[in-house]
Amino acid sequence: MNGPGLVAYLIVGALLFGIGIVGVLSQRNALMVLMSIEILLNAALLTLVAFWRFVGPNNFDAQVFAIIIFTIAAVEMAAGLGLFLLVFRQRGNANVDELKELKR
Amino acid sequence: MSGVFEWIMFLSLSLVAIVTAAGMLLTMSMYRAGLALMASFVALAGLFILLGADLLAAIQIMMNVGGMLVMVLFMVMMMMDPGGEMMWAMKRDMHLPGPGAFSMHMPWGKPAKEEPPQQQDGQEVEWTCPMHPQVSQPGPGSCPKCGMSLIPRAEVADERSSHEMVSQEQVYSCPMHPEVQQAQPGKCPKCGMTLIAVEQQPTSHAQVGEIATYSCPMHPEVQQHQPGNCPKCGMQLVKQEPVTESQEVNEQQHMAMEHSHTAHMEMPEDTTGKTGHTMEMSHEMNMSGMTPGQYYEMMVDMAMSTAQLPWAIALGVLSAMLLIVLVVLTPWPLAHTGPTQDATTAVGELLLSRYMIGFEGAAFLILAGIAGAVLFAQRARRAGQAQLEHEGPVAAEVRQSQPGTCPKCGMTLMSVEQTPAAHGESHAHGTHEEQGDQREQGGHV
Repeated sequence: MNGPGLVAYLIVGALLFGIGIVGVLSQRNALMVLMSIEILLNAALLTLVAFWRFVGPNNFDAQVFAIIIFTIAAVEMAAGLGLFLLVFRQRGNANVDELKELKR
Repeated sequence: MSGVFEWIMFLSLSLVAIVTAAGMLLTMSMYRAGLALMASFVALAGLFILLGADLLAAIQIMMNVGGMLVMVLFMVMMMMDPGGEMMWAMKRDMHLPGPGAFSMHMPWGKPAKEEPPQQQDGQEVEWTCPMHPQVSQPGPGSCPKCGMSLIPRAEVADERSSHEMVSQEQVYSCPMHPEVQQAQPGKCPKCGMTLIAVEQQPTSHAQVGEIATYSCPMHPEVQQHQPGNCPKCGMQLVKQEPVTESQEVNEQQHMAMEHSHTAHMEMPEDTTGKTGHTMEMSHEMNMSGMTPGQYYEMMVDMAMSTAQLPWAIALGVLSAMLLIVLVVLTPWPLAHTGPTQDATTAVGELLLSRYMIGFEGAAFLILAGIAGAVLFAQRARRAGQAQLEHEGPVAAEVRQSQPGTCPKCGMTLMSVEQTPAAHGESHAHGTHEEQGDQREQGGHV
């Protein structure tokens, strides 16, 4: 019996991506939105690694690209945390549905 | 690795990854959300190992899990309710259904143990139906009206309801702005949240009595007349001055507002022992007289999600379904061999040759991100009001803006926060920045 194939991994990635979308769209707290973005990035990462393994196992460019995704995740988290820390210092909370000063 | 073993590992790891990711969205506690996301990352690292990408698994654990650790730290520092205690108590007291396992940290099964003061006083625990509050009987059982199993009535609500049967009057109030009160349900004019039904408090009656009571700072329902330790958590009980009901309610409302708005700064000294009392607010809330629609809206208001939750869920499910259909239907050009080269070596070579610029760029990006975060925090700190001064530990009149030694006794000066009342006016506005610079150069003691 063979192990799980490409499609199985891609389905897991799709489910994670769906969960991440729900989180990004529904969460009220900015930190939770950041965390949901992390889930989205992880879903993309899983599909990338699965493709590397099952489509081009000897092309290691995919793994380098995965490392770049890690970097982007880390930078996004650092910048996002700094930004929301500033917002939090000024307003006392970081609820995305209350950040609407630029509206008028 | 045999195929069966691989399938078992795959299924369990992906189950963990998906369930914890979903649990992150379901829980009411930010802290738990962070831990759940960490678990999801670790499970994903396991999937990477299963796929043969060991290097990526290691990086995943180092960077993402470590990053989440920092995130959890921020949550604990920033959130007014990182453990979800307040939300949880609110939900329990209002007997609300909701996402279970992730929100709970006390078992549902033993509610009778939560009434120690009542049994102390020799009173009987009253069991009531969560849907029909008029049903009450001395022992457990099921509701004669709807068949639900009975639960013990919360002691405070019980006491109050017996006291207030006559005088109670329902008004609708905003959970965030307690001063908003009106006779019919609707939306808060200030923030647009759904108003919830509260029982109006009678003007004054000394429910606690004249004797001082001792209460646990974490579990306000624990109250007894002599000092001791909390039966739930073992913390030392804090003495409470007898207060009249109306004062206490005001204080609770004040606390709730403070929690929800400014939250993070200092608390007034006299309320520190009563932090847990915000939870008691929920006893006053009453779900009768609300339609299921309003009820749902209120839950959305209270939870960490916005009111767009159904749309978000619909979109998420839709996109996941779409992706799955595409994935299954597309004929992928599968390669039926494994990697012939050692991945770690190959990736290292690639990084140091063809992707050198990308590698450097990644490092630069990380540095830029961290520098940006630090800059943001620095600006926010300058904008803050607190100014540090250095003061002699013995000779308090020695104050200067730079660290050093005391001219009188030679002891090292300690940094103190400048009180705005005493020293705020003496400084012109322009010198604040300068002082901040000096302080940062000097470092902290």
